[in-house]
Amino acid sequence: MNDLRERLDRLADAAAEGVDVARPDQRQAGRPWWRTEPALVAVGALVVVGVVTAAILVGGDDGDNDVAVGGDAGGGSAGQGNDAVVAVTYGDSSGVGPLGLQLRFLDADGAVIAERSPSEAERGADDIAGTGGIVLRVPAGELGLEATLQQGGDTESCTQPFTAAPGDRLILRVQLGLAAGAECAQVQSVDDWVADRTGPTGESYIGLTRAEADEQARAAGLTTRVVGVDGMDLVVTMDLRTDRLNLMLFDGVVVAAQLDGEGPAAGGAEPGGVECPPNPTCRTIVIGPLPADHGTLTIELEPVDGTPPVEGVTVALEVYDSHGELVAEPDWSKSAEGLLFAPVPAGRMRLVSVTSSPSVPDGLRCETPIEVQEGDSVRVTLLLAEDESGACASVAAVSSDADGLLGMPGGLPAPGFVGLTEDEAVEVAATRGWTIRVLARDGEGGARTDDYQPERVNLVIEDGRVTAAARS
Amino acid sequence: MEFAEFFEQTAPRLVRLCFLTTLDREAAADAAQEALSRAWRDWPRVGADSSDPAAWTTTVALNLCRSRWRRLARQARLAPRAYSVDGRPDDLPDVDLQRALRRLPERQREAVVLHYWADLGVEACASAMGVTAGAVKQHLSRARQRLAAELGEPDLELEVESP
Repeated sequence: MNDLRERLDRLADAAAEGVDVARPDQRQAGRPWWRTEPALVAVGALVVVGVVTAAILVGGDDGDNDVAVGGDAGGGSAGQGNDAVVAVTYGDSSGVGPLGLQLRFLDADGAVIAERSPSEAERGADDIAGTGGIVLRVPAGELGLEATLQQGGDTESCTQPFTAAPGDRLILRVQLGLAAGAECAQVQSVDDWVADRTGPTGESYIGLTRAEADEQARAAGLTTRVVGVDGMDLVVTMDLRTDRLNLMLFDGVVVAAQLDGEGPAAGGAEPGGVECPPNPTCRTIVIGPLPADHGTLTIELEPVDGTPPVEGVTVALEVYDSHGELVAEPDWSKSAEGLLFAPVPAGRMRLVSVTSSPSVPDGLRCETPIEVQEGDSVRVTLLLAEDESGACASVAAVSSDADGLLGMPGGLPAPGFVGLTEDEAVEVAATRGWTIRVLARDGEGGARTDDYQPERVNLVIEDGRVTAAARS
Repeated sequence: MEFAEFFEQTAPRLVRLCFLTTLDREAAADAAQEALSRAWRDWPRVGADSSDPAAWTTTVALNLCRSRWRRLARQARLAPRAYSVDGRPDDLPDVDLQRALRRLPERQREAVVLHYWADLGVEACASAMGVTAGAVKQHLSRARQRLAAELGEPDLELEVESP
């Protein structure tokens, strides 16, 4: 152990040379804070589902994110007393930060009650440095936002009147310079921004700070990530991780929380499965936080023409442990859109599936060996008919990490690839007339195209072996 | 404890811990910087006598290290840095160990670093990683096997210390 410890020490010491981490309290005062960049990135297995808007950051305060204007200066929750809370963002799309943008908040008489520009002070964003809007506490009433944009030698200016009632939480999306003919700023309530973005699991997180939400999530065996801050939707990956809670923050507290794969709370998914609207981000989940020593078995149907078949398909499922004991009977009736999440004890198991469909009315019986780690997930694709190799089910990903790197739940199955070495995968692909593409190796993904090539197998390689595979 | 004191005690260790778990100097600096920024932001609560700011910051840093977002942000150059990483190539020592660590699954690597480098007990590792103690033991067990094979030291024996 000492030898390993010493080797780790030496390596860490060498790596730390030249890395100088700044003290945040000192950095705050002396460093230009404007942190914004265009943020449309689709890298590797990632799909952009949100857009980072250019951030306009709070100016000149002492570290508190909020600036009291008129009313009290308490931070954290929504408007207090006669105050409202207003967040200002720059549009809803990425772009070079509007360094020449000046914002002035006006009262009903036109008097300036606050003035901001994107060159003053830093606001630490919750999850990603450099993203976060101006958040102001303003007195309720008839107000105005005057925006002035200087670009080159030109100056544009506009004023957006808005009404803030006591306790209102509003988002003002400045459009100036973004689109010809657009109104000065779009006004949206926080409730509208987060509509249908809270699931049953997430309801108890509303109102918590990020840290409190993290703590509660950790105790429930969940991880969190921030997908929206102060009116801005952030770039997030589309990988499905059933133990991850997506948080939306406004004014420092959680205003929406939704478990990956979980439908909205209102009219959406109850544990046990209720249909939700057919869109890629809404899937019904049938489990809550995992019991101890359990993982998740994700079972999906082979898609047909890009969508999972639902009509006329029945599936019976049994999971046996290595001793042949029945340990789980996932209930397919609780699936949604051809997808089912089932908690199963961690360990090596056998998934026995019988899939009946119009093309195979008598049912297709399959046995699929799987190994699920505690807290992790394995994804299995059930085929509707045996493929040329005789396979009728396929492990698509052996872990949630591999699944995330593959980034294509719902991709066409590639039976028989998971577990092979890379060389073996090349050989198998060749026998089927397919090509291969390695999307990620040892945890590192690379850029890729999103073109559709069903005769190409996308692989995730870890430690020399395929851990996830799908065609697309 | 004052934040300044906490920072001086914690920052160097955090950078090292983040590097060993990511094997990426920029990602390590990113994560350490962000974790410390959050600690400072929430210092009245994080630094309260009853809390353990080092453990809190370690957990935050690990989460950040784990986050693919860091990778994405780095590639997109979203986050201007408040730290500096010198421009020298990564001519770091012990290539064998680097390779062996890199080949460990993320969770196993975390467990090894926390337990064998940061000297955390199993329970503390579990808390920092957000998993059960059983899972930590499992990760450590598998990591030991892999490290032994990778480092060509079949007799590599690493005791799992009690919490």
